[in-house]
This record gives sequence, structure tokens and C-alpha cells, in this order.
Amino acid sequence: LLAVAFMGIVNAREARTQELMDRRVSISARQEKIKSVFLKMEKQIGVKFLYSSNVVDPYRLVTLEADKMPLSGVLEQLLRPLQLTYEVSDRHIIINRIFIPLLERPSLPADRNASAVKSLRAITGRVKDETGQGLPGVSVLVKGTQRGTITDVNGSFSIATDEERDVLVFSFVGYLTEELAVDRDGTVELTMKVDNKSLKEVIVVGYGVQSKRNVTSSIASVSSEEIANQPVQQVGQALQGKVAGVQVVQNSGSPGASLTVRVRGAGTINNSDPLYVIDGNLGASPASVDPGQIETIEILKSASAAAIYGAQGANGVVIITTKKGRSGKPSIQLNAYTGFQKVHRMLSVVNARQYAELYNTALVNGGKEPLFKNVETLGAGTDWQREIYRSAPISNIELSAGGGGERGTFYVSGGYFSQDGIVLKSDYKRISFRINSEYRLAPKVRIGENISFASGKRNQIPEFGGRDIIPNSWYMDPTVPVKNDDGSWGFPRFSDTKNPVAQAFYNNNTAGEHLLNGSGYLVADFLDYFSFRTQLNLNIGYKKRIAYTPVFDVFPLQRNLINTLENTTEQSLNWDWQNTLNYQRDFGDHSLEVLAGITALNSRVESYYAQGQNLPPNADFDKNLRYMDLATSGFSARGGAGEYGMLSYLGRVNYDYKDRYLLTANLRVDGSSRFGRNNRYGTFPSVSAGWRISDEAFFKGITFLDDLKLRAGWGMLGNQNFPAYYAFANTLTPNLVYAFGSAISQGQAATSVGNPDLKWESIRETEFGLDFSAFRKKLSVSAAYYIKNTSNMLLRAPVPAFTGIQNAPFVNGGSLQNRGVELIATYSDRTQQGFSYEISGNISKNVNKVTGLANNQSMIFSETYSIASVGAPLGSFYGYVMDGIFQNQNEVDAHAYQAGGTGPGDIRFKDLNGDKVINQDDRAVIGSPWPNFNYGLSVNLSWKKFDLSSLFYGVSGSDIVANWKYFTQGSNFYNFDSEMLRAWNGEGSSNRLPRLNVNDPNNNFRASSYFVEKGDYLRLRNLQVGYAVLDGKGGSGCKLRVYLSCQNLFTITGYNGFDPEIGNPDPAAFRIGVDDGYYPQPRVITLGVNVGL
Amino acid sequence: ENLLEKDPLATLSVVSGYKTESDAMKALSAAYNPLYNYPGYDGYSIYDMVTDNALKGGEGPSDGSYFNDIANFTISSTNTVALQVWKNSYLGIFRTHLVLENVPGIEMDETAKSRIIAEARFLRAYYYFTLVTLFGDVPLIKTSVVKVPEVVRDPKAAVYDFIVEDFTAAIAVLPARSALPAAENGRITKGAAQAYLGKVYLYKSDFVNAEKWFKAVIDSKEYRLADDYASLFTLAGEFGPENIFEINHVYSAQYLVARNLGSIRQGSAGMYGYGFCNPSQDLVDEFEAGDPRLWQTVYKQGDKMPDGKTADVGNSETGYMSKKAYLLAPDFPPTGDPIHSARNEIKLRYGMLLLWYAEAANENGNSTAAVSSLNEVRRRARQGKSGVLPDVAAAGQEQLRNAIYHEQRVEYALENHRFFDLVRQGRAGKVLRAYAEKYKTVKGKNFREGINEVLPIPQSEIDDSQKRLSQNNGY
Repeated sequence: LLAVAFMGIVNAREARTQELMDRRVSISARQEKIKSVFLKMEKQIGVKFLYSSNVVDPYRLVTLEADKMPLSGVLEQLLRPLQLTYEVSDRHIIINRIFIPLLERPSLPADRNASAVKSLRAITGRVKDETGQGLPGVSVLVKGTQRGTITDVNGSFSIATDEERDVLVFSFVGYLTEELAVDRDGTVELTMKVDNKSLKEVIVVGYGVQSKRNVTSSIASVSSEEIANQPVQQVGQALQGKVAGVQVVQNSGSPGASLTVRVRGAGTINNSDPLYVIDGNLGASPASVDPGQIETIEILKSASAAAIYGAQGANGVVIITTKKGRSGKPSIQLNAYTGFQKVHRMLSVVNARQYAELYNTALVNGGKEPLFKNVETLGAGTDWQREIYRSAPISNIELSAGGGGERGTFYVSGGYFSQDGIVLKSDYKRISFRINSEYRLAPKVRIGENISFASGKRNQIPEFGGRDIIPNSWYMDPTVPVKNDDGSWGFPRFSDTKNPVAQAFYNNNTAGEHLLNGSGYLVADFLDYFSFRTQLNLNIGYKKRIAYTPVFDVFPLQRNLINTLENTTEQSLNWDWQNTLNYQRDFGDHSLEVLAGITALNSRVESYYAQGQNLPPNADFDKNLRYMDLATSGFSARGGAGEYGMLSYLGRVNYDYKDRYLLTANLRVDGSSRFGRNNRYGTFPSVSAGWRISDEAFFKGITFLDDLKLRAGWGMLGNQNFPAYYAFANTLTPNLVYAFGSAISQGQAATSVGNPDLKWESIRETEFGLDFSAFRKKLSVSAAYYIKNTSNMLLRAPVPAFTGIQNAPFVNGGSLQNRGVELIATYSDRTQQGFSYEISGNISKNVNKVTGLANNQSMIFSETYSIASVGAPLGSFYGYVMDGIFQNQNEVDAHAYQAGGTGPGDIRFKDLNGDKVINQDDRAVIGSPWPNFNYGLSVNLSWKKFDLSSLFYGVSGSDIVANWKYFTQGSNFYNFDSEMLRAWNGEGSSNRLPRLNVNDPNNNFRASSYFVEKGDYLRLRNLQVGYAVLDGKGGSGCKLRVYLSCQNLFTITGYNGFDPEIGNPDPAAFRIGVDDGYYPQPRVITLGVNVGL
Repeated sequence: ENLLEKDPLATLSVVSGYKTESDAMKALSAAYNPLYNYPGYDGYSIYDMVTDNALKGGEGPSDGSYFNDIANFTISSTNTVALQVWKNSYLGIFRTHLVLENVPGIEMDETAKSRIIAEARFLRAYYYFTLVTLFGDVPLIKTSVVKVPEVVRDPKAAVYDFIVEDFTAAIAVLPARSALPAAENGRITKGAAQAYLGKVYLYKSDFVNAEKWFKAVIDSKEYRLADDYASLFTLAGEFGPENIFEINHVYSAQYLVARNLGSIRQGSAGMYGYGFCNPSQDLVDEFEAGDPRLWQTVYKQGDKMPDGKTADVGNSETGYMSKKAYLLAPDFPPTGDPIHSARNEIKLRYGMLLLWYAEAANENGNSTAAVSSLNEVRRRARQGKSGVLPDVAAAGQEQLRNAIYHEQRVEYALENHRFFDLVRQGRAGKVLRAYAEKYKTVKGKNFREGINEVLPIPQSEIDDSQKRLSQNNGY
């Protein structure tokens, strides 16, 4: 825990070792078995002692007194008298013998005969490692005696004996201990085997853990160190650029905004968000977790890994494991930062004088009178963007304590996060609390719980709409002041743009959310090989929104003459009960693990809405008056509910032979209430296999290679995550009203039809991968290729409107394919001067393609640009193809007919079908929002007390529809962007920007490739420089690190808009990469501190 | 197992939705409901914008470019307005089918039941009439369950026959307007069905039957011209003596969909509107000297409005705005925001009917009735003013026809009828091209006979039907 903060990201393992050695131990033992002394220490500080009974007699009685003594000192005191020493590997302390050879140090081979001549006889030999190199330092002991030696630099040894036959015990850290019977005067040649078990690093997989080394599917693991101290509100933000194949897009820079996370591309036309599992709880919200509380994050990317989650794992699974307490002296950790944020870029728009000039030109070109007479007097006017942005503070404090004793452990953490938005009237605050504890009821029975509570409050401004505050700050007439001299708001004389400052001023929209995620569990081990776990998760969510619109009258299009209060609440309750039985046993070289389980879950949500009007006028200023009791008219109420349940059976088999041939198979059967009786259950199998080819004999010669594993997998997943709970039923829609007399008559009618034959959307994925490490693990590389096919996609297949069906019914129609490669490589080392570095890069490519749509549909639109069309990526852009600008009338005449008033300076569109008329048949796919590549690069350095970490993130090959240009270039009395200063104004002046013309007789601003721009960017996502003021050494044991962090320091992009990271306001839609003007990512500069006691 | 058996929450199943008389009324209300959803069609007076009566207007040239495409006859099959009208009409038809199929089985008062059924038939005919006038041949769907692969466009004549059948059946059952209590204002009456049947025949150029059914309305004595022409277009004029069919809008904080957006769309930006539909100089010039209706139809910058306000026409392309759409200060809804306007939209009024009757009678050679009816309208138009709008004297058929055409243009200008009149009278191309020539503008220039009388079938509809629906000629 402490290491996390203090050493930053660099060299975590070393840091951990050091940190471990510094742990305080208090122990009092009088003539106790050394075994139980070790056990006490294990519990107190969360380590594991490994030793061979050949080296340490576990029943040896020892006496030890320690009071808050560092572990290193305690071990010294305990082990030295016993002539033992120790080594640390991760959390394992390996006990070994200090060798005081009974003989002289082994002599060189040339002297061997000479030693043999001595009175004692000797056994000689050589010990080699798995690569055939001599292994120095191996302890060689004559079994049952205290006699022994260690091998020399060449791995050779010589040991005296006077028995006819001796059994020698060879042991070495990280290798399996071997016993060998040797005849006197014999020569031994031994190759020691690596002890994989002692090196075992486990990762969390669904419903259990697995040795990372033996994983045969694609699971990415991110440790807390890698995401520590970033000024982010939720963990997903810190994952951006970290993991190959995981694309994270922040939907907005507004505080408290959501994320779009895509694992291996968008797998469906429906919601492609991954499943989050927090400490085994499937219904917990990642928004409730302070990133500081996280121990590890595992992302199950491949179907063969996620299949254990069956119908819920279709879009990948993000498993978050929070920190737990460890036995030993309690540790206290404080992490805090504070800083400020600023907008890092503004859209380049023209000033008042330029606006007037351009507008006059557009009017004259349209055959009208110029409007602005005294252009020169206008000056710069109002810079509306400057008026809505501000420098905003951000801060976070997280305090945690962990510890434990003989029978239990605890971890408690509390945090407070506060972020003001860089745009007026937006902010987010969250208080979070977590308690994780475990108690051992009996030697083999543990109970525990993980409970978290988070309460967030978000003041929100409208965004994602094309006419919200941010885009309006571009479109607003710069000749208008924010406020007139008389104090009234400025408003545009010629356009419908709302005054964005007034928009923000009158906006009162507060969303609150309370989340309680709790789980309790019991684990019982029995019959040596069995382990049973039952876990009950309960999640309660309460959301509320208060929107208050005061009375205001800026101008006729921006006014509200009656104050209105709207209250919305939503309550959700979901529970999930999991029971699993695990069997794990080794049979010689065979290792088998079997898991079987049954889970049930139920999810229910209920919402209420109320509106009231005519509150006391003071409510416009006084929040305390904004309650429904004070409304006097305009009452209205609504409410609804939805519920679904699932019942699932799951099973897994892990088998390996000699750690070399690995096999994992999963099976899950899910039943869901969202489908009709006939298709309620889905079966989702998966299998994956690995081959540790580096263990094969023919690989022995390749010495630089530590490990090479080839793997392949196939899996099937389901998806029920579509927006209808009861799509199988025929239902009536209420509130289709009409007025008779002066009263409303509430009507009802069917607006859709149910589909009782709906079944699971299914995903089948095949993947091939390899993992290798080399140069004594300095280099590690992991690569994968996958092909993922989604079929029976749940979608609303368009039906002709003449059927009268308003909302097309859901059908299993459509299929989609994602294919891709992922590569991640890390190199880390430490120079002799103490300079450590780690460079890690990842790159992934995903190709998305719609392969089929229901009813032989060729295309489904999501608003103007985005389509799902067979053969093209989901969300491709569709429109006319621009082919330059007409430079003169001859070019217009020679080209296909476009519109009645087409003239020089207008956009030429390609006549794709050659019929000499430009119409809707001349539209084509003009871009894709998906990048060809996503990549990330992190560089981490540390030297003495300094550390530096950086994370770059980039995308390449994506396109963006700069939809805002429809306004800033459309000559419709909106302000112009600066590009239009170079608009076509005569033959040869531009082949890119059309003429200014208020009439737009050519309809230049129809959906076309004119608006499509390259979306490539490279962003320095995070840069952090730290300095360890106190390193925990010396008396106090206190650690203190300070750091300076900068988020979004720079972005390199050719995109003309605001921010090339385009959010997706609706995760269930495929309108991706269309830029209507989003809340930009702020640049965040923070100063932080990590304190550990 | 009850984990997986979830009865839908907060939703009614179709099976339990048609049990009582109240359910029948709910089904009927839902069938009326699409009348509120013709914003791109009714609300903007688009079929005046298309003609010599008005220019598009709006905030600027590219505001509402889909209207531009209609108004300039550069419309493509992806035009959203055309799609909206198509969808909404079929939505209405579907909901009338739900009434016609489910209500007969409900145990309830038989009179109330047959009335509900008759109203549904009126509505179905009304929706089909909208479709057939806008698109020509359209799929004739007669049940709520549609076998999509069997659907093609049916000939206009078959659709008209179906419409006539429905209106005729409705006439036999519906109550006269005088029999309606105020609480039922807005429900369809016998007079409305008769008037629409006459209108259908008029649009089919079946003048004999048109005359017959218009005459039936006249003879029923249920309607008369309102004395105050201007009051027709106010809240106070709702359900007045002249109104035969109007869409009933109310202000309801809970159900804001019941509002009328039309007026705000045609209001100037300076007066809370969107600024669409700017009356043309040509229309203004069409009014006879001193015709009081001129300044009751349009207003210009600086005019004193009836509510005492001073007119601001904002960005009007012509300097005029529609006064018929102007929302008087006292007519503002409780929120004070015109967007929630409760004012009704008049779809058919006696003033129109008299002029259509005159047209049909004149075509049938019954010039006496034609002249008398025409003059009845002109008399009211004078509103007591002397020396203006003299009575039209008996004249030859052609002369009378022109007089009627003229009167139609000014009497119900900006009420979304001009284009249909021009089309059915076979003179759309001539009139529109003359306008383009006279004003040296693109407006009207692109009208092509045999093509632009109807809209293109929405492309998505052709695509969604696997191209079984054909496209209209020329699109």
C-alpha cells in the first residue's frame, strides 16, 4: 500500500521489497516453534515465508522480542543465530542457509584430485540452470546433516563425505528443491527446474484468480501504481492509452461526465459499454470508486476470458479489485492534490469587424444590401469564448488505513473529490467511503465484506446539443456585448443564437447520486482440495435531479416567463447472489482446477418526475425556496419502472501439464427475463489453450529468452443489453393525448409490436496470441490477433412507416465484425548508477465492419451523417463527395446539375453515378469515426529521490465531422470561424472554401465530405514529476513524496475544431465522431502529496 | 423461476387495453393525436410558401433548408418534411384501425360506440386525403396488421374511393355541430364530414358531387360567416359559427404536445416567432383597393397591432408577416410564452366552403348560385365598409371562374391552400412561372408539370419496403 504512493510507478517491485523490509513488526515469543513465529509475522505484515524443512526445522524453538522493529531487523535477529539468511521475491520471504562450508571453499577443477587425496572423500558435481548455464550459489546439503556447501561461479561444487551413499539436497531461490542420492566418489550433474509456484503472480479472472503466467486468453492487468495520482474522477479516465485494444473516450470535459470505453471495438449497434465487476460485484458502479482505492484492474478482452460472464461479458469485462488490509501494524496513507484547470484551446473565430465585413460580403453576393454600415468602428467586439471559460480549481483528498491481526484484516478509506468546470456553472463533488474487511471464523472459514458508499453532486450545463452554451459561444454575434450599458443582456439582432453567458447564468441543473455497493461473502475450504464461496451483492442507487428555470427575458428566443421547477428521482436496487465451488489439485505434473457455480440476479429501477410552476419570485435567487410545495400551478407528474432477472450456471476447467501445456474451458448458461419463454436461455462456451514453447527441449539453446507462450482461444458471448425490458410483449403507449373542449383526453395506442421470438445477441471470437519475456524479464511483449463476429444483433429493424408502427420492433437482425491486432511491449532496467527506467508502448488496430442488417436493409441512419451500412464500419459518415470549388461559370456548366442557383465559388459535388444530376444517389461513405490505430506510450524514470512519469496517447486514421461549420461558415448570421477570411472570392482564390452567400443557392452546406476532417491526434495525457522528501528510512518510518502533475499538457492535431476527442453522448447510439461542439478536456495542473505512516 | 418471469411494469398490454367505454375513448383520442403532429406541413403554411403567396423567411436563407427545397421545387426524396407528413398520416391511419378493430367488441353504449367508429372513419379518410393530395398513389392500408411484402402503391382512384366511403359512412352517424356540448368541442361533426366529402370531390374535379355536398352543409344551416374576419384567427374565435373543422389546441402544463406551434413559426423574430412564411408583394397586390382583409392577413414594420403592440417584422424577406398567425397578447398561454399557444388551427371554415361551392357551381353551369355564394363572402369581407369590394355581377363562366380564383386567393391566403388550388385548377405551372418571370427570381421557376404537383415518396420508405414502392415520376 505504501509503496504505491511513494515510488510512483517506477520500479514498483524494488520499492515493494524495500517497503516490506521497513514494515514494523511487534512480536513476543518465548521458546516457540519457529513455524508459528513465521506464521505470526505472516499475518501481521502480509508476507509469506517459504523455506524447505531441510534448511529450517519448523519445530525448532526460538525466542524473540521485537517492538515495532523493522522487519529487516527482526529477521536479522531471528535468523542469524540459526545461520540462516533470506531473500525477498515479491511478497515472499525465502529462507536459506548461510553456508559455512565444512570443507574449504571448493577448489578449481584442476585441484580436484588434490582434495580427493585428503583424508575425506568427496562428491563433486555441477549444477546448471534451465538454459544449461552453470548456476552459482546453489546450496548443497547432505541430507540429515548440517554439512553442506554452495556452488561456485561455474556451478561446480565439491562436498566431503564418508558415507557409502549420501542424499544431497540442492536448493536455490526460485528453483525447485531437488534431492539426489549419490554414491561416494560419484560425480553429479544436475539441471535445476524453475519453481513456477514461487514465482506465481496471480491475476483476477472471473470468479477466481489464475496464475498470470498460465493465462491463455487476453487479459490486461493494470496495477494501482500505473494510475496513481492522476487528477481523474473515475478510474476509466486513467486507463486511456494504457491498454492495447481498449479505447477510452471521455464524452465530455465537464466534471462528472461519463466515459465511452470500448474493448476491441464496438461489438454491437447497442450499448457497447463493458461490464464492470468490482470485488466480484456485478452491479457496482465504477463512478463510486475513488481511483486511490484500487489495487488492480484486470480487463478481460477476449471472448475466451470473458465467457465466464456469459451474457454480460459481450463487450469485455473490467474487473476492479480494491485494496484490502494486511496483517501487521496498521498503515495510514494520505494522498492529496490540488490544482487548477484551464481550457487549452479556443476555436478561432473572427472578431466583430471581420464578422461585419464577411457578412456584408455574403449579403452582397446574395444580391442584398450590406447590413453593417460603419464596419471600421466595430473593433474587436466580444470574445464570447473568453466570457464562458474560467480557470477552475480541482482537488482531491483520500485518507486510508489498513491493518489486521491474527484473525482479520481491515481497510478503510474515505475520499473527497471536488472539481469545478472550466465552463461557468458546471462542477462536480464526490464524497466516497469504503470499508473492506475479512475475518477468519475458523481455520478454514473466512467471512468478509466490501462496502462502498459514494455521494456525488453535479451541477450540469446543457451540452451535446448543437445550440448549447459552448457552441453558442462560437456562433454568437461578436458585435453584441455580454451586457448592455443599462445592465440588460446583449442579444443578437439578426440571428437566433442565445447569449451563452446568460444561458449559463440562468441554468440551474443539479444532479445528485448516492450509491451504496455492498457485498458480503463466506469462503470455506474443506477436504483439502475444495473451496466454497458464497457472495451476496446488493447495490442501491438513488439519483435525483433538480432543474430550476427562473424567469428571464433576454430576447424573444431566450426567455422564460414563468419559473419552473422539475424534480426527477430514480431508485435502483439490484442484488446478485453467487455460489461457487472450486476444486484444485495437482497430480504430479498434472494440475487441475475446476470451478462450478450458480448465480442469480435481479435488477429493478423506478423513477418519478414532477413539475411545478409559479414559485415565489425569490426562488430565482434563493435555492431554499426551490421545493415543490411552493409551486402554485403547472403541476405535472410522471413515473415508470422496469425490472429484469437472470439465472445463470457457470463452470470452468483449468488444466496444465508441466506448466507447459495449458488449457482453460468455460461454460455459462444464462437465462434472462428479457426474452420470451422460447428463447430465454443462452449457452456460452469458450475454450483456450496455451503452449509454453520455451520449455520445450528445442528451445534450450535460446538463452536470452525467459519465457515464450503461444496461445489460442475461441469463445462465445451473449448480449442482452438493449434498451427495452419488455421487447417481447405487445404493449400500449399511454399519453397520446387530444383535447376535447378545454380538457385533455388521454389516449393510448400501440406504438410498437412485441417480438416474442427475440433471442440473445451473440458474439463469437477467435484469437491467437503470444506472450514472451526476455533478457531476464527486462523485456516483455504480448501480442494478439482476434476476429470477433457479432450475430443476431438486437436492433430495431426499420419497418416501413405505412405500417403505422412508430418504434420499429426489436429483432435479431444484423451482424458485425471486429478484427484486430494488439501489441504491447515493455522494457525496464536499472543502471548501476541507480537510474531506473521503464518504457512501455502499446498499439492496437481494430477494423470494424457491419456484415449484415435485418430485412436486407442496406442502411440505417443515426441522424444526418452516421450510418450502419453493410460493408462499412458502424457509424461511418455518409454524404456527398466534395470535388473542389467551381472556379468559373464554364466549370459549372460542364458539370452535372446541382441546384438552380449553382455558381462560381460553390462546392462541386461528385456525380458518382454519372447521371448528370447531383441527387441523393450521389452520396457515399465519406469517412469513419474509428481510428486505424490507437496507441499509448508511457515512459517512467526514477533516479535517487526523483521520479518522472509520462503517458502519451494518440489515435491515427479517424475522421471527424466538423458539424459546427454548418453554423460558422453557413452565412446565416452566425459568427464565422477564421477560415472564412479565406473564402472563395474569385477565380483561383480557393479550391477548398466556398463563397460567402446568404442564399446558399447551391446548398453548399448539405452533408458532404466538406465537413469531414482528419481526427488524428497525439496527446501528452499525463506528466508527473515527483520527489521523495522522506523515504521511510531512519527512525520515523514516515514517507513523504511531493509531485507536480499535468494532464493534457499538449495535443498535436491537424483538426480544426476544438478538441479531437469527440464524445458520444449516447452510448446506445452509433452517432460517433460528429462534432457539435463538446465540453473540451481541460488542461489540469496539480500539486500533490503522498504521506505514509 | 419467477426471477425470469417479469410482467411488464408501468406498461399496459394490448390484450387488456380494450375493455371499457373509457378504453374506446382512449383509443379514439390516440387516433386524433397525430393531428397535432403535422408541424412541417400545417404549421408553416408551407403550401403558401411554395406559391406566389409567400416566401420562406426564417432566420436566414439556410434556416429550414428543407422548406427551401419544397418551395423551390428542388426537393429530393430525402426531404424530412415529406417524410414527416407521410409517417404521421400513416400513424394516424394505424390508430384508426386500432379503433375500428377493437372498439366494436367492447360492451358499451351502442350510440357512443357507433359515434366513435364514425369519428375514426372520418380521421382515416382525413389522413388518406392528406396523403393522396401530397403524394398521389399511396399504399392503401386497411388493417392494423400489415403484410409488408404485399404492399405496393395503390392507384389514386382507389384511395379516393376508400376516402369517399369513409366520409360517407361517417356522415350517416355523426351528430350535427349544434348537438355538441361545449365539452365536446373539437370532436368531429356531420358538417365536417360533409364539407370534407365535398372537398374530396372538388379535388377530384367531380364538381357535381362537390356542389351537392357543399350544398348539404349550406342547407344544414349549422354554419355562417363570422362577422369579424380578424377574430377568426384568435383564441376568442375558436369554435365560432364559421369553423367547420379545427384542430383543438389547449394549454396544459402536463401535456404540452397539445399546443399549437404554428403561430410562433410564422411570427417574426421580433415578436417571438421563427419568422417563416413571409407574405409576398404579389399577394399584397392581389387584394382589391380597400379590402379590409389585406391588413387582417399581413402586417408590416411599425403597424399598430390590435393588442396595441408595434409590429416588428424582423428579417422578413418581403417586409411582411402573416397576421393570421399573429398571436395577440391576451391569447398568450399562462406561461406567457407563445410556444405553448392554445389557439386552434382552422382546417376548414365556411368562408372557404362558400368559395369552393361557388367554384363547383360555376363549373356545373349554375352561375346564379356561384355568384350569390361569392358575394356572400365579399359582403362579409367588407365588414361594414362601404365603397369597397363591390358585389360581383353575373358574368360568363370564364370571367366568373377568374373572379372566384381571385377571391379564393385573398379570402384564405396563408391558410395553406393556395398550392392545392393551383394544382387542381391545372394552373400551377403557369402561375408560378409567371411569378418567376415577373420578379426575376428562382422562386416558381423550377416547377415542372407532371412532376411537382406531388412530393417524392420518401426514400426511406422505398428502402424500408425493399423497393416495392415505386417513386413518383421525375424524382
